[in-house]
Amino acid sequence: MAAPKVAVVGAGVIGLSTALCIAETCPSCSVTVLSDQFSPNTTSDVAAGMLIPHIYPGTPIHVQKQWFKETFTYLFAISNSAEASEAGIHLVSGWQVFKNSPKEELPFWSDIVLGFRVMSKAELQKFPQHQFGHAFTTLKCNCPSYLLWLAKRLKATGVQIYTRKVTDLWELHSEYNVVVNCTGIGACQLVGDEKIFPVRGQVLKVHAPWVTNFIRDGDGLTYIYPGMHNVTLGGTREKGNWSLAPDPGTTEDIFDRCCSLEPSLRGAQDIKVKVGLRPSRQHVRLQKEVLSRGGIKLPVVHNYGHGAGGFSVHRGTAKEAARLVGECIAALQGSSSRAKL
Amino acid sequence: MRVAIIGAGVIGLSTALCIHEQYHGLVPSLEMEVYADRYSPHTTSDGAAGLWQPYLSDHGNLQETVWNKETFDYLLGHLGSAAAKEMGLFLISGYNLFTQPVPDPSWKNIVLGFRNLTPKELELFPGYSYGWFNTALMLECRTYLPWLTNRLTQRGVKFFHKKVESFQEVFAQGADVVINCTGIRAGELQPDPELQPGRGQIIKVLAPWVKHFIITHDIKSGIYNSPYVIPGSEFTVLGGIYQHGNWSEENSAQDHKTIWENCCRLLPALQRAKILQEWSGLRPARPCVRLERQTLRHGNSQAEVIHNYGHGGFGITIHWGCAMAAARLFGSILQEKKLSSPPQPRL
Repeated sequence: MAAPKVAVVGAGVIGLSTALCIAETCPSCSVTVLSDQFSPNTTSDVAAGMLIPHIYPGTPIHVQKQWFKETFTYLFAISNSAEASEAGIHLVSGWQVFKNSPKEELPFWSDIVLGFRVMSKAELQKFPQHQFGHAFTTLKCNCPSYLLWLAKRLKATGVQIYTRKVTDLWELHSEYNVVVNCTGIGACQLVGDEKIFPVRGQVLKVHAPWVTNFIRDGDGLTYIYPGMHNVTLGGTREKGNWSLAPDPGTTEDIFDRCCSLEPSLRGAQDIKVKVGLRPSRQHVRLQKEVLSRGGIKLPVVHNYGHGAGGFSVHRGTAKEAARLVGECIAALQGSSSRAKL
Repeated sequence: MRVAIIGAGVIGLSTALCIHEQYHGLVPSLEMEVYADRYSPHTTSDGAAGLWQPYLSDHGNLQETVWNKETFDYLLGHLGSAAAKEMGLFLISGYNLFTQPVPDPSWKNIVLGFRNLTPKELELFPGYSYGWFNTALMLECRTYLPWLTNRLTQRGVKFFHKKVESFQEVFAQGADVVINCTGIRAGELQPDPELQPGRGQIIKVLAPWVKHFIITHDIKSGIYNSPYVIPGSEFTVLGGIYQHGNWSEENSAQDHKTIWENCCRLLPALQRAKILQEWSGLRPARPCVRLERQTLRHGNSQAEVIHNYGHGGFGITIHWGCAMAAARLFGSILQEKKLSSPPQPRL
């Protein structure tokens, strides 16, 4: 098969990074990205982009750890290069604080982030309502910059990017040999996946450049993540809520909760409110499927359902998806050479 | 009781505030004036990035270690308040890098979360094999000095824009006590061969992705002669120049090259940073801070001077501890003049 044609549906962090991995591992492939939404209108654009993993109950821990490690290593190298500012990747240090001591001693990712340790008593004095904490250094992506940078890398490798709303994966069967489904929350409707559900997150992006450390409450609901151009204040985790409209009551609540963790935020300016729907699932759907109609087959690789952890594992799952695409192509080439006999 | 403060950098203004806060209640007749020919943003303090960090070694000046700690604790106490942002005060974490193992510094238990760097962290900094991580404070003087000025103005302290030529001039105008916070130019009021400039030059850049301070150390070349990167609230400061005895306040193209090349080697991402401004200043270096009383003859009487200068490259780091020490000296002057005893009942 000359130049296998691969379509990647979705242009959030998963779609773009998966397309890049495919282009890197399969130089003979012709890769095209199709999406109806691009940065700054994807779910990824709302995310703070912090590399702190979300736990998927349905995926073995060693697999999640591998994905996180690959992603961390990849971004660590970028943060240390001249490309760091364009890609929007930088280190940030801070604290995860708990009102009650967490059950497990150490999270599985404690040896992947940098300098992980328990907070000292003196550090905890800054958080009078919290008894315990972890201090560490991790990476943060400025999502809009990162997506732009990925798109630029894609175009440089010859990947085409088109605006197109795909309403049925099958519609691509005549133009493409393999389809990669990175549609995030869109997979609910696109492939009728009943296992995926939104977890609505409202965040504030504020101007508070004196905040240089991140602070996260271990309950995951209140967090302060300083980025390149603004500080993300969060948040909410509203399961099953599809509304993308900002809620003013929620805005006030988020602001108050963050100010109680970091009082200097009272002076924050230029408050913008954003909403994203985390594409949540018990486990990331990262698997092959062969669609078949009337004797025609269309191999599909699914890579969606990353919930709150998209940035943290994106490179690891993109590499796995690219590997599965490679398997699909090998199978197609195998069957096409059998057909020649 | 008239008090004249000479100098409106971080030392002058904080000493003024400390004295006024402590003694205005006890001495209702206290009148305070500040004299300076340079005010923010044109003081030496304004050029400093604002990082609280003492030198690596206290050279036996244990008193200075105490003053550093008092300053840190004082600032830390203000962190949770609404005033912090108006003071230009915030927490910042970062790295100190070395080419060989070194003993822990005297301030390791003053800062927060002090620890050694892990091997993986050291991968970020090729050429450096040892280092520290800790959380410290930033106090940006371009915000802090106006804040101090506001507090002082609210208290009725008067400000004069003038170059004082001699202590006698100020005494002649009626000052009872002069607080000498003239930094690098103290020698113009009273010769002090121990006071020398430690010339520094910095480049201010836009690099909003830098969230940590990075101070490198080269034991051979000495403090601040090795690249450093200190991010602030509006720009990032690149530096690494310390020239003892150089009085030039002109920017040097050679120093620019040194700073730029060294900092970009340390943090390759800086190559894309936009350069905003360049600045040179003279750290008022002295083997130890001059913080002491001196009684001078003025006509037929005596006049008191409290010296508080020579804070080198650690003025912000030590300022409040010194202000309190100067206030104690002021208190002893009041005792001697019996002015801090309660007012006599009217007959």
